[in-house]
Amino acid sequence: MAVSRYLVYKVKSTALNKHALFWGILFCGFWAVLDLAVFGSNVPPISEAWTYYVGAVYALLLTISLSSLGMSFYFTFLYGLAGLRYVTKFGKYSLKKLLFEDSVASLISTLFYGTIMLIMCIAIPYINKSVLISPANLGIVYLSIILLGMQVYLIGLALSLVVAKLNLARHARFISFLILMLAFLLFIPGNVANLPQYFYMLPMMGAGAIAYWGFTGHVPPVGAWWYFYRSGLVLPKVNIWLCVGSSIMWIVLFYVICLALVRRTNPVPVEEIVR
Amino acid sequence: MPIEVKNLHVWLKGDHVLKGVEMSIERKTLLLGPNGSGKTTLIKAILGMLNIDEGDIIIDGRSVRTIEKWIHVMSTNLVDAYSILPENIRTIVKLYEDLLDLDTSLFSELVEMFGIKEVLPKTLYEISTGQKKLVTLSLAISARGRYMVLDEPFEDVDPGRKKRILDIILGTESTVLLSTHELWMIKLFRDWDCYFMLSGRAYGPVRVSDLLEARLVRGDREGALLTFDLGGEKISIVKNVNEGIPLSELSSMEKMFEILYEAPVAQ
Repeated sequence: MAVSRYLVYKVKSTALNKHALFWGILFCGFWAVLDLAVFGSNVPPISEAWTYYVGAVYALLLTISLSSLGMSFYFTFLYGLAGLRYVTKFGKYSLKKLLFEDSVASLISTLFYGTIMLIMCIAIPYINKSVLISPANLGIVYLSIILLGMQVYLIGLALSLVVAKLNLARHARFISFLILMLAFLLFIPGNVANLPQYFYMLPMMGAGAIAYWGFTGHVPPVGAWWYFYRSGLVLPKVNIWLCVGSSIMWIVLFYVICLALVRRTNPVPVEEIVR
Repeated sequence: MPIEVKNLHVWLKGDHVLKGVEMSIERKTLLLGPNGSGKTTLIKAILGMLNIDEGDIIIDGRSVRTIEKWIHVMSTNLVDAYSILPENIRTIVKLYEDLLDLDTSLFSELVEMFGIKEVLPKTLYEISTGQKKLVTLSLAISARGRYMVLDEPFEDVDPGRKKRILDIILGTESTVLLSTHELWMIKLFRDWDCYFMLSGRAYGPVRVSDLLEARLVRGDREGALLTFDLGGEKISIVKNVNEGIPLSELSSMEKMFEILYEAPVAQ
């Protein structure tokens, strides 16, 4: 099955979107430098302590970075819905094919952003402290990127369809920040001790814990990720299967919402969005 | 086979925008009506961009609800159709070359002819309204649809370029549905059909040449070309009478629109 140019331009349009670049790369890069080169000065120069610390930083920054891409998915879909309906009726490709390519393109963008975050989190401690950390299980790290990427993509799509369905175009920009706000919830397990297990059933949170697991090789505690290595706290571990299950549940749920709304929603006129 | 619009109802944001529109577009057709009368909504529905709440649109025997991958049938200058990604015009042209089998060399010729090459590195929302009309018209023509649906193609375009657009539209082999406010041009479309959109309802068709020979009279007249129901008052367009306002002059045509648009319309 030949790939359409839509896939290529969609990758370019979302991954190189200036808002996504700002929030997903620059903003997260800035925090990576602060966390790893400045705030990390108290971390003992022991490889294991650094692995836990960098794992926690990576999980948080990955979630924020990909959620900024989610905003980009949200806007491009809100903007392109009318065009998508027209070209799939009177063009060469079916709606199913273009939606599939849309999701593949978005996944490529998330893998790109996830890899940049990974490189940053490995390179900064190495440059600053000569501490070389490699992820314990790269496969699990990329599994977390995929689970997180699919969630932010589908949340972006579902939100854009809800905005169109409920005539909320005037509040479109404000609503886009919901995705980023959700991602910032991952600060809570970073700082707070003893969170309930169901915190990790929230969208994106489970995938954050999986990223930590993949990077460090250890299932994270329910809280205090940042200080775990020196706090002396004995905290229960996150139920990682609950994280995997809840991530898949959210993907299915948002997919069903998107599927239910995509043909029933009248697109917002582009002029209203641009305004 | 024509485009047939059958008892079309569309609600948008809680408003009943199209209220049982009936149309049959078999030849080049003008769509005249004031702002907010539902012309653009009708065009979007024909292009499959909107959900149809009731009724149907049949294009060459196929319902627009179920049409998929039907290339070279319908082209348009509606900007939303070309807004699938927020990219610059050059990229959009390459993308639509793949999606719609757009003729890019024809597009380049048209852009050259309109003298708007400088807009290609910009997005559709970074250029003036007039330039946007020229770009989207060039895209519509390059898509080579059997039907071409044009929404206000002359709006905000300078007089010199209006003439070029007019020549293209009059010369095209596509069956054109054209909405416009440019009443002075109506005389140039003498062999076209014409529909009026008023408050979500379509009145027509009437041949433009007949319209230009007719008069506007009050009441429901037998043998009238068209009768508008304006909230209790009926106004007819009738040929071969000596009373009423003749529509042959631009001023009287404008007078007709004034009467039709300002009258309380039946709900």
